[in-house]
Amino acid sequence: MFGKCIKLIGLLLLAAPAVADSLVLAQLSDQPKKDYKQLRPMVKYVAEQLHPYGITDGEVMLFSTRQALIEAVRAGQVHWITETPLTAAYLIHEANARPLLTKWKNGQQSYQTLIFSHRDSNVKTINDLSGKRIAFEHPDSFSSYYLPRMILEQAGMQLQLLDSFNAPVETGKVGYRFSRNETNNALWVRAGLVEAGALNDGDWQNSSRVPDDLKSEMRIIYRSKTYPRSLEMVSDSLNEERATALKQTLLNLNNSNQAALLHRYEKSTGFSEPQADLQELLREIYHNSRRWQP
Amino acid sequence: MSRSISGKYTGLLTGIILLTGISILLINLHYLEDYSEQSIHNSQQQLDELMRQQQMSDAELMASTLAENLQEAVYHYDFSGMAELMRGLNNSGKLLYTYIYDQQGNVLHDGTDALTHFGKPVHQLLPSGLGPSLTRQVVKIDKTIHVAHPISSGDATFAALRLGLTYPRAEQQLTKLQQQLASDERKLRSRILVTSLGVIAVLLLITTLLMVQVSRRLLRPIQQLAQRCRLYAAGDNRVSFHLGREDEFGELSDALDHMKQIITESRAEVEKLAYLDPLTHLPNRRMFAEELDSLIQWSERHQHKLAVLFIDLDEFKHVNDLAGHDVGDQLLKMVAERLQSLLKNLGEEIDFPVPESLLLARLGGDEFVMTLPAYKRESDINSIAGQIQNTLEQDFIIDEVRYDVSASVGITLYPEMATNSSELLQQADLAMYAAKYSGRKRFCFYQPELNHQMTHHLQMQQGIREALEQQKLFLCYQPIFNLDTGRIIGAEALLRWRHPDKGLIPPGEFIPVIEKTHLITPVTRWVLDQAAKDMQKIRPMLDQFKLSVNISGGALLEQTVQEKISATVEAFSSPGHRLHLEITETSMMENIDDCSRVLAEWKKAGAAIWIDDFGTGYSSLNYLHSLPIDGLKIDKSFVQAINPGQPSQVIETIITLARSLGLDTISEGIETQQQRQTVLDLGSHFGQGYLLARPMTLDQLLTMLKQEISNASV
Repeated sequence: MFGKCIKLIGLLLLAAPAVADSLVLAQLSDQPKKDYKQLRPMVKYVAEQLHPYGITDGEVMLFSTRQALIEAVRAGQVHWITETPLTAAYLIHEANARPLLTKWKNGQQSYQTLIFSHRDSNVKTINDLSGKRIAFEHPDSFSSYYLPRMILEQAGMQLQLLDSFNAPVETGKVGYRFSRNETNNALWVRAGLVEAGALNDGDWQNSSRVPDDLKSEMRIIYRSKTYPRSLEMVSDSLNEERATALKQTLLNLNNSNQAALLHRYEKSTGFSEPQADLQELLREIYHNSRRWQP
Repeated sequence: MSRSISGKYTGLLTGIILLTGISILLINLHYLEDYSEQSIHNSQQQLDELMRQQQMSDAELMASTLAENLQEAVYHYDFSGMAELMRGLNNSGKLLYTYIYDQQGNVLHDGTDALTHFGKPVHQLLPSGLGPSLTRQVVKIDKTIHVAHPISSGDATFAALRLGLTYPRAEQQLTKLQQQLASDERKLRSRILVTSLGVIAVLLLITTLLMVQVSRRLLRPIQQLAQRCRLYAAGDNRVSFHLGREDEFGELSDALDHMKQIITESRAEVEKLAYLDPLTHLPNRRMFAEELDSLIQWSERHQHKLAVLFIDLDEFKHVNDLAGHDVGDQLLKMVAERLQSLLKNLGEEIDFPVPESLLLARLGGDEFVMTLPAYKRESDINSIAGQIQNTLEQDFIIDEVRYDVSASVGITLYPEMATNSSELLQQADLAMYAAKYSGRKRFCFYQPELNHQMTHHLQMQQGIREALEQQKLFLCYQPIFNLDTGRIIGAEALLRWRHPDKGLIPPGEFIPVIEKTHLITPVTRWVLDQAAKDMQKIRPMLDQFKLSVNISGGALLEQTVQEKISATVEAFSSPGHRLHLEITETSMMENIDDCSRVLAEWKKAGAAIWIDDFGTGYSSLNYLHSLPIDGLKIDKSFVQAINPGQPSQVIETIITLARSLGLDTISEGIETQQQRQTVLDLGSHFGQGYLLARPMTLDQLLTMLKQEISNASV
């Protein structure tokens, strides 16, 4: 696992190997180049800020699988993780990480999942989805897989992964397929390949992901609770003093003093203390999620 | 330049070069244009084809790449992935449409975000003729390339891709390239045109300069010859046309030299003709006038005298008339020789300032003029004039015939009489005329009075000439009577002149003028004609009428008069009607040989010959005897000298002489009865005179004759 991580870095990032006094920021990534660019300025900035605490440099580590990330956190190779609530749930439960702050990613402090169908279809509630098909984005997606699936199951429905659109949906079950991205989600519904799709409200509002005319053909049939958009976590390899300094440094950033830096950091606008029920939410996520693992 | 030969040749050659150059240029331009059009057309086609192929392969490659890339997205129905791939197409062309469709030909993706045409049959969206092909297909319709390409995984084709592409930039560039080619061609053409015209212009310039030089060099001999011709024409006889060449110009120059020689000779000849008398080779009037002018100037400078002698041959006309002009010319030559020889002799005594040959000239006809410069005394001139007459009076023998000629000489003197040549010559002429008028064989010095006399004389001549033309002359007749019977036997025709202003002019004034001039011939002819006419009227009145006409000595030897008389006599010659010709003895004696012959002819023709005014002149009895004479008219001076009681011995002698020679006599000028009786008594039976009858007109004569006839019949 460790070797895999090194290999990734060596291949893609040409970064110096982490040394003891480097602050390492990590994330799961299937677009390492983009994500590296997004994370690096922030870790460099924070490392500079934490210089009084013996931090000499800031580094970014990206991982292609959740398991690799978990192992790196356990091994103490990673100090700081910025991730979705789903990954955060795993890291907390399996790698002893602890949540530090909620990141306002894409300007969102929190988000919710929307389930939608075509305006012309008979699917008007999630209960109408029995025997129908729904499009999720990606198995790693919190808002477009984990959360809607959890909602559907809590509504008493069983879900069935379909190999193709032609595959029959068992009676009483909801067939699903991964559409790879938000746009496909809406397009599949429009093209009639599926009867419903699930997206978080941020993507729904983003017309570059769901074009307005497409959106106007859709009907939202369910809205979930809100969840933190993104979480900043620290591993236990970062001592308390440095973790506090990190937290404070991040809280000090806002749009009036470091707008550009924040924007580059996954288009965030600031940080806030996590919501009170965070632990509960994460625990619920973690347990539900584990059940679905293949 | 343009009118010169070199100009013409230069112009001609220039024209040929210009024509040739322009023709070649035009032909070249024509073929160049053809070639360019063909070549542009070909390259356009090739480029079109090349571009078409390139575009098609480009489009196909693009489609195949896209299909390859799309494979996964299509498989997963990843619309946004498809859209992204389709949008990401990077191509030089312009994408008109992109469709992804499934095996049934229904649209999976149309390239739009909203997936507008999803599920529609793709052929509805395609240009007609294109369908939902699942295999590779590339066609170009108009400017659009339509590509179909399968999207497959392994051997399984599960969808297909269709693209419509145009390449406006390439098309534009092609158009631009074609325009560029055309423009290049135009530029090339104009460059060729300009260059060619430049070359032609330079060629023309060089040719012109070369031609001018060459033709100048070639034509230089002609110009040299022309220049020499001009010099020669201007009078430079030293000019030689010789060029020292052996070509055609050499030939021309030799010919010109030959011509020059001939011209020089004829020029000398012409000069000679202009200044010399061709017959005698003496200076002519023109040369004489010039010589006289220069002699006058010389005389003026040297205070010398100068005499001009005008010499005119007397009776030369008769020589011409009788012996012909050849003899006359020969005689003139001999006269010239004698005068030259005389001058030569004089030259030994007098120191002439010019050669003797310049001192004698022939003015024309029988007129010669001699200049004697630097003489000392007037008596010298007298002597020389005498010598001239002497030398010319000696007989001229031509073809063994002796000719007797004399000369009248008029002389004038410089500076006493005149100081210019024309006046001197005029004076000398006048003096000669006066000499001639005063009886020939004389010389006469010019005096101012001569002017008046000669003017009168000339006026008289002119008057007579006009009277002759205007019929102002007429004949009067003085009857001649038989003194025994008192009856008219004939009449003497007497010439009368009624002047329109002056009335009747006395015969004594104008008859001598006629006799001393050439007027005698026409007047005598007129008298004969008139007498003959009158005789036609008289003849019926009186048989045996004797008409008497005076023939002047001057007319006697005039051939035309001789012939006229012969003709008139013949016309008269009927029995009893005889024409009596009265001739003075002096004029007979002057040319006795010729006279005898002529009189014999007349006599033979039927005329009677009488000697007029007998006794007043000189006559040789010997000659008298030999002449064919019919009678003598006793001059009135003898008749009127008859005095009562005194013997008239002269009349008596004449009558005796006549009787002894068998001749009749007529007494003239009988004015008294006593004179009438005396001559009758002495034996002269015929007479005329105022006592008997005054001269009268023809009408009066006719009246008188009529009366006499009627008296006789009574």
